[in-house]
Amino acid sequence: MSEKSQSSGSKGRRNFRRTQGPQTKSSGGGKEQNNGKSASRSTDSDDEDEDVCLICAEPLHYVSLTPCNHKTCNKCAFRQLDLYEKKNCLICRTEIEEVVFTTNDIANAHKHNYADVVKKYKSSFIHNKTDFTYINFTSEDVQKQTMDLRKFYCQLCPEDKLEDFGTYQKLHEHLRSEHNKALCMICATHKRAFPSELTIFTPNQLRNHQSRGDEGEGFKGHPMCAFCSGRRFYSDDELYLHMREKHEKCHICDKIDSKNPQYFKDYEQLFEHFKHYHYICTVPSCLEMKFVVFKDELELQAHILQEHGNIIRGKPKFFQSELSTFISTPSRVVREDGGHTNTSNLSSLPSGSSSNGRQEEPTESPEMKQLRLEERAKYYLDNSNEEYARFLQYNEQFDKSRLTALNLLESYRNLFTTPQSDVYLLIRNLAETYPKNSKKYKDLNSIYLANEERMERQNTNNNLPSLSNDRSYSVPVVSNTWGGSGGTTPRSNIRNLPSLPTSNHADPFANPYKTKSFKSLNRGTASLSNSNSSSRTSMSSNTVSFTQSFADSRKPEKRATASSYAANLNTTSGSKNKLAQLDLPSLPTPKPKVVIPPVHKTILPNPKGWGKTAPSKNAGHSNAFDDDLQLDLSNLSVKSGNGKNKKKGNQKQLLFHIGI
Amino acid sequence: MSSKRISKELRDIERDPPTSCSAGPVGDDLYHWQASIMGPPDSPYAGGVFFLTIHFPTDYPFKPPKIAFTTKIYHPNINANGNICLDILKDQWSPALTLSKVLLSICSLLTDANPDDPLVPEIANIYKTDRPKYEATAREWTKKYAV
Repeated sequence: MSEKSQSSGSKGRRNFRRTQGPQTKSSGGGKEQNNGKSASRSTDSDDEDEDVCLICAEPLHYVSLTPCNHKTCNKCAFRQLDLYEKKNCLICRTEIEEVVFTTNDIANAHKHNYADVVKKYKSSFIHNKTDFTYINFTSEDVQKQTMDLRKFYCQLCPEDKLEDFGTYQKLHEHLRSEHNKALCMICATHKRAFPSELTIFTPNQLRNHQSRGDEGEGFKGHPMCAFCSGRRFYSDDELYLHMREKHEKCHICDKIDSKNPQYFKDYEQLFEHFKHYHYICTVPSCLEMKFVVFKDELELQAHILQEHGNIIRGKPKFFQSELSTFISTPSRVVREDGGHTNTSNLSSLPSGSSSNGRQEEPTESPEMKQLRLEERAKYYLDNSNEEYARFLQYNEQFDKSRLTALNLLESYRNLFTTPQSDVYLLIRNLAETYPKNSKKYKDLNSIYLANEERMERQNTNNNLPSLSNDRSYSVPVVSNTWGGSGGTTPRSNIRNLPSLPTSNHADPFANPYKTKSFKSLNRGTASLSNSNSSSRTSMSSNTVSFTQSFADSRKPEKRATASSYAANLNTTSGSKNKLAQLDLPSLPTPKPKVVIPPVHKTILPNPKGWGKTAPSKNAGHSNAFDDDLQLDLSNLSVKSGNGKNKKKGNQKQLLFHIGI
Repeated sequence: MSSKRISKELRDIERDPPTSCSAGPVGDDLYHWQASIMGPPDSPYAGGVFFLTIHFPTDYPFKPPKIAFTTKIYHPNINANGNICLDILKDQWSPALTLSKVLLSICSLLTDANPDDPLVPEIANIYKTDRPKYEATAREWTKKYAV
């Protein structure tokens, strides 16, 4: 089995991981490549899943077989049963009533079938007399090998003089007196290792082991509690438990920067810290209660107003804790005009808004930026090494200025064809690897930004601008629909519609579904216009029509599609129906794998600007399909801002130009 | 003791890399890895590349690896320090689980948060009461920190 050539993938080729590390160790010299498809391995390779324990990856000799037909090495199984005291299958966690310990050969011969092994060997099963009586050993050998794991033998004494010391303490004493060596008693009590697995140290080595750890074992030493005169703990987990039980942590500091917890020996010390760095409530009942302390004056005031309002009565804004007049973070303290300060206002401020906050932007190291670019590329290329090499080539050529940024973009486009690919994100990630003031950064970044802008515009184009030019009508729109507390109507969610991630090659107008819905809308508009002029209902109708061209050079249909949009809003409940017609909220999140263009994200314009002006009026008469009439909606918001005081009516349609 | 198992996982990951994540040791310390996860396309984290740091305890695989995000992420089960609230990283850990499987679980946690067992109650609350707002913020953070 060992020499058989396995289609084990091409380890050699897939060398794109950051580190090769240990693999050289295990696959000595017997490895050769066969077209990158299969590699024949050295006989002692532990690479084949069949022959190593799934848990510890050691070669299998004696094994445990559970009633759920799962095989592990006897050591792992016995570790679970004895040291972790769990009678569960290591593989599937099923609770086990009994288990067979046998040789790997027997297990393999019965294809890991528990029932078959039991059937054949039941008569010759060997059991312990007292402990672990539920283990069925198929031979004395297996039994001895397994049960010997528990023996406290001294590994330094000659084999013929082995003595089971029974406890770690006794073994430790023996090692010290007879061999001038020692065990780490912290490991002995916590590691859940069998006695033979513990390292035997010289006194010096032991100190190093405890303070700095062991090389190559992923162990950095036993951490020490600074308050308990050098007491060490097995791992950070145990130390953490100790700190939590025996000492105090400042929960305020924790809120501000949870990465650097501040511990204090006891509450007295913590209280000193509170006094100097935070805001304590000095009302006796609170002092007694302990931990009534706040991170800034504002929160303290809120607390006082809420809990001790009867004590103060005066003007809350002048109240200050005696202890908290110094060291404050002024930026966090909000001072308002006297009358405006009220409890409900204040109590809503803390935690949620700031604790979780956006502190300063974390800056990533250049290595991380590079890594992000690489990982993204690999993901987009489905881990294809060949294509990844081409990607690196392009980047190198760009770096040597043999490719311009635009050439690079084009090359990326040809290379990255998987549905998840977004070449603009790659461009951006690549830009980030150059200094911000370099030309390469600027070139690349401008491509990214241009695309962002284009996507933004597409979003805007899908908006339904409120174009009411009659303010008497538009006011209710503002108050009822947007400005009010209409959180209960489904429409209030519209403006929260996600801004969808952009994919680049999509033609926003290619979706017949959308076009249709807008057409039907146009008709609705026309009829509304009529009714509007004749019967001064509370409706106002507005339409915008425009065409748009796309500069995306890859798209053959780039200028061919045009669509006319009409937006129509009513002031009253009727608008709900209209909006329903628009199918607004059901916009699909574009999944990259689907070819549906991502255009159909709808972000409604700023509700505050809603209805304030009329950038255009009844554009229905304009030729919506005229390529020359192009509308740049990015100017729309400007117009709507300025147009606030414009006279109603008589405004011409705005025609803008789109493109880069 | 645990190094063989970790080496094996590394080989397996190299041989058959998971589609949307990757992992490998930092430097030559086999017990300290770095991983990256691609924001799942059907989540507000789409387009983001998130980095994680992984520490294998000496008792691995009997004890779970310690995993934390190093890229900021807005998620009910991941706090500001990047700590992840995921049952298989705690009491539901099984020695038969591999890092690769854990990373996939984290991927699916990104797609389907578990607001009923939150690490950041504020985000969980928004997740439950105003999903579009949660998605918008998650998307915004993704763009800001992970793109």
